[in-house]
Amino acid sequence: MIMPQWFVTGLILLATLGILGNLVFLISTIVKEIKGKSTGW
Amino acid sequence: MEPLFSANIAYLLVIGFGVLWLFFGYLWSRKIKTSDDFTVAGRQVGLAIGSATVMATWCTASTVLAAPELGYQAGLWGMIGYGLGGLGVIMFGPIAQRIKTLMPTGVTSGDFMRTRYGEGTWGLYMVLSNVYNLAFLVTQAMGGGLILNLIFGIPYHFGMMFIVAVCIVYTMLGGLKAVVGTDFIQSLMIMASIVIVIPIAITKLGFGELYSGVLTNMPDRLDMIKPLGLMYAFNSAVFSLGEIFHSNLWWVRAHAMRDDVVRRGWTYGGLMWMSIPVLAGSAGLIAIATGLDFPHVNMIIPMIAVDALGGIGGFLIILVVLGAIYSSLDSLLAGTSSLLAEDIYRAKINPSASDNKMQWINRLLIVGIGVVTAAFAWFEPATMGEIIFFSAAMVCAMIWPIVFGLFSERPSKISAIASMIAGSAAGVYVATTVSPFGAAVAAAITALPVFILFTKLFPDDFDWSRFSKADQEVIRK
Repeated sequence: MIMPQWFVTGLILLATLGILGNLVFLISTIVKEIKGKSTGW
Repeated sequence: MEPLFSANIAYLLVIGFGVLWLFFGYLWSRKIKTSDDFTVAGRQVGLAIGSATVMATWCTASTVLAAPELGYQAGLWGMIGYGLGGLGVIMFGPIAQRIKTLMPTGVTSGDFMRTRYGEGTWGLYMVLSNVYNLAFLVTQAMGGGLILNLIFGIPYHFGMMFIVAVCIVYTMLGGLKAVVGTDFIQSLMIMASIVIVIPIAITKLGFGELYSGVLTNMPDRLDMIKPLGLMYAFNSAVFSLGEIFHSNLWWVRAHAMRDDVVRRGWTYGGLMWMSIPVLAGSAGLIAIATGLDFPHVNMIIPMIAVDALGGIGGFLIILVVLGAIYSSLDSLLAGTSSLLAEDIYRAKINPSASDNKMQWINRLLIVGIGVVTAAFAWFEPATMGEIIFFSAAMVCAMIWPIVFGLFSERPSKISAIASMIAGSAAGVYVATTVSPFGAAVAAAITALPVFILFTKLFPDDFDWSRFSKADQEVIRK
């Protein structure tokens, strides 16, 4: 079954937003952990 | 073909990053006070560094350079199937939590196999696991040298030796503490670069043109109901379970993370990783849509990056490639050395070894394993790919003894050994007669009924307190 354009666009956008979200999560978490002295490292 | 940069710039960037990792290795080596700091990073790693090290370790050079190949050759199923390799990481979360509960002062996966199933199973595990580790190390080192040569024109032997030497030195200095620290930076490098390069390249082309180009040139790449694609996706998921569940690379990370973050660390790390091959894989679709004339499939992403962003694109690809290579190679060195130090040296040669001595044994082993890796990689053995397929099939046969052995007292050493042998045999048979891509599934599917049958016939009544007794012995030392 040939997938429609919205599926391909959605998949790529989802992966892009996923990585952006992960970057925001990692940076905000490390900042919070550094402030709270809980990086554990 | 022409390299992306002039030789001077390529050397400057590669050597510059090597010096950076050496600097961090030296800086963080000052945090090392005990053997626990060296082998399990002090057991208090938080969520940010924990999830980043999980993501970066699983993100090899293949994740970013071979994913476009799959996108190009298998289309949507190739991208999604590669992404499903993250399921193993996510599913390791509950297992990591259980490992920490059962063995709060444990270090290696070998600790578990020996205590849970006895010496015979442990011996078989050590052979299979270390063959796999060596094959993985050599292929990563070779991959590093080949990629630096292909993309930047750096001679293979120089590139490979340089990467291995840098990894040896900073891992030897800072142990897992340095490895997880550099993994955090490398994970940011990988994600930030890939999320700039691919979306800009697609935006320049246009989503409509991307879709219509693929539909015109290779419409079957948009087909989601393909038996081969389904088999690949399923095999990829099973493969990741076997690779991760058995490997000491991941067990030391379970021990390294704090109790309250260990499960989330794996879930977030796996989710972070899954987006990478999907986005990188879409470079394969760009290549199809534009009719890109590439000299080698590994060049798809570098060529697209330079086309979209010029020199900046090339620089971002250097960040991705070097981040991916170093983050996996250092983890393999640290994981393999601690497995040999704890399970061979401390368990069999010198049970009363002091904390300081264990640190030095670990360091010596890191150097030794690194030298052996470089020696194999020097000759570019063509059989390494086959060995990794065979050994990966074998480690997939270990999924059930590990999972059920952690949660149930019923599985015995007979059921563990029988399922590992039967699964390994089935995996090797399928790899040689049918397809290497079916080996992992064949091993896992064959091992399961054998494991269940032998557990019914020869059940154990394992005493969980044996783990705490084993832990107490470690503490007394």
